[in-house]
Amino acid sequence: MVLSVLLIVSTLIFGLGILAVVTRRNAIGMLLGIELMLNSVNLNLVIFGRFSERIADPLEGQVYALFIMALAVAEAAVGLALILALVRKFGSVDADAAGTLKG
Amino acid sequence: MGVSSGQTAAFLVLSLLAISGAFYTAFANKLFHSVLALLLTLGSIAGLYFMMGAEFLGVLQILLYMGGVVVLFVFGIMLTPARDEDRLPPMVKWHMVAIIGVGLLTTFLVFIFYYYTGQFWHEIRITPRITYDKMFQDISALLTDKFLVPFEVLSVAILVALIGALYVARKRE
Repeated sequence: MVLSVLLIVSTLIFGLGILAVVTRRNAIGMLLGIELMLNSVNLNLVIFGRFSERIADPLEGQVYALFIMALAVAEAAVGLALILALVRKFGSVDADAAGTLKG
Repeated sequence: MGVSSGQTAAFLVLSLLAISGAFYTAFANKLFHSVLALLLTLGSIAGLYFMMGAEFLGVLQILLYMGGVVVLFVFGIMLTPARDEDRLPPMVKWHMVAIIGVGLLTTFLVFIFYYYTGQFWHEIRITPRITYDKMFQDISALLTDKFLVPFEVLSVAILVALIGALYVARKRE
């Protein structure tokens, strides 16, 4: 039961992260959604490392989660730098404001 | 070895907190409330890590995410001009399309997990809790032995990300 509950939790968090990315117009809100999705993936890795019979060492799942965590932090830093540049250029955090490439 | 009912209750409470925090993150009207809800979700996930025997990841989650990323987001919110309305404008149609599509995707994934685990709401085989005497040593041994190349590539990636973030966010003359 614990395994199913945890998998459902991570799936729901992933779905809500997608919804945050899709429906928010504020670029920072979209980054929040991306963080949610990365967290749910991390949770999944740890769950399968803990519960799967096929993985010899449960620590391997945690090491993968570790890598993703480091990359997620770097991604948040780069994303916020991009948003600051966006604000300098267009004067707004609205993702729709950056429409220069629109034909 | 079964799971005590107290443990199950703690799992359920943490799961509920995580889901409600994620829900509020996605649908809060004010962005700052959304960040606070994200903090709740991150904390609950750290609790789940602790309960699953991944103490190292739980500590890192608290340090990096709740301590680092959330502060980064708060700074980002304070440094950018506020918007009045954050949602999609009247285009409620596309809003509904997004919600329905994501709902379908989530159901699909839940069914995949259903087939993977074989049983849905029944008691699943719980492996006895693996206790590590030297968990940190084991993780560092894995990092410096089996995962050495990804580890080094990751450090280069973080360096590039730092320099790139500074370059992108610099003041242009």
